Amino acid sequence: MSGIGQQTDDQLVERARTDGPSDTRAFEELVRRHQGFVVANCRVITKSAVDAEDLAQDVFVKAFFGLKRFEGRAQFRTWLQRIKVNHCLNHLRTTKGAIMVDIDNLAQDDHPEMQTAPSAHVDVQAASDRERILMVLDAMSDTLRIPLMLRDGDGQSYEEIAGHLGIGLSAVKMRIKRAREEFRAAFAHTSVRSVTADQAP
Amino acid sequence: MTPDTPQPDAAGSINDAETGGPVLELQDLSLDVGDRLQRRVRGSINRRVLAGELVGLVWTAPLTILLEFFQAAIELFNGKRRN
Repeated sequence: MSGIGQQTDDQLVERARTDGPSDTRAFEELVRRHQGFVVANCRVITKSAVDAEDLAQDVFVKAFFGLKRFEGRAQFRTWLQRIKVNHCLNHLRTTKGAIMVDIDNLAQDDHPEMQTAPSAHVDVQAASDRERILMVLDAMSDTLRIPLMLRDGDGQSYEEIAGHLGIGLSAVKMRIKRAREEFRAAFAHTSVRSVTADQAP
Repeated sequence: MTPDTPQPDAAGSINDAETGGPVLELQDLSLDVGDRLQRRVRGSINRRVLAGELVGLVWTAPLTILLEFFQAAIELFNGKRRN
């Protein structure tokens, strides 16, 4: 059998399933491969680095004990994403209550929860792209940030997002459209700011 | 419906271009956590397995003890009958 590092996800899943808890090396390799995106997604959804690692740990542990139910019809990463989304949204529901305000057709000015905090436009140093992305996302409201992450980070369909968030399809589209606009505007602004900061004596 | 509300395309699915196109920066967003998370996951799996075994033991131990007593009583009874 080839080394664990050379095996595909499917092979590792099969091996982890066979080995069970007595030998978790195959599953640990799966954790190593996918932890970066899981932690990043949890970090964006919860806006907390500490919570993100705790949630990522829970997601992987759930995945491990749910391996028997994984039928291999989807990729392991896709299956993991589904567990992660459900877990993070449940976490938000229990810690914050309702995640979303119902805003099918509303004016943004009437709803401060849909506006990007001014800090996104101000507290910008010459940070790395990743830090700037997180900074911009942190400044966005849950209402916009979460659908944006589910769509562009996780690649979920609009219908799936509507199902996860318990809102209508038109609301999902509206939020994603606004979120993308806000993200791009704020991110471009941080780029300009960081370039200016770089050039300052 | 407001004028900027995106419309589903003819097939009924949603055209991403109508909602501004995907934010590419989010597609490969990843954070470095080293091997800390692997250790935490391994520890958590081991704890859960151990807890499961303990719970199993809590249920099976009294039953096993009762069974042993029962078998001892039967053997004692059979031994007296033989004598």
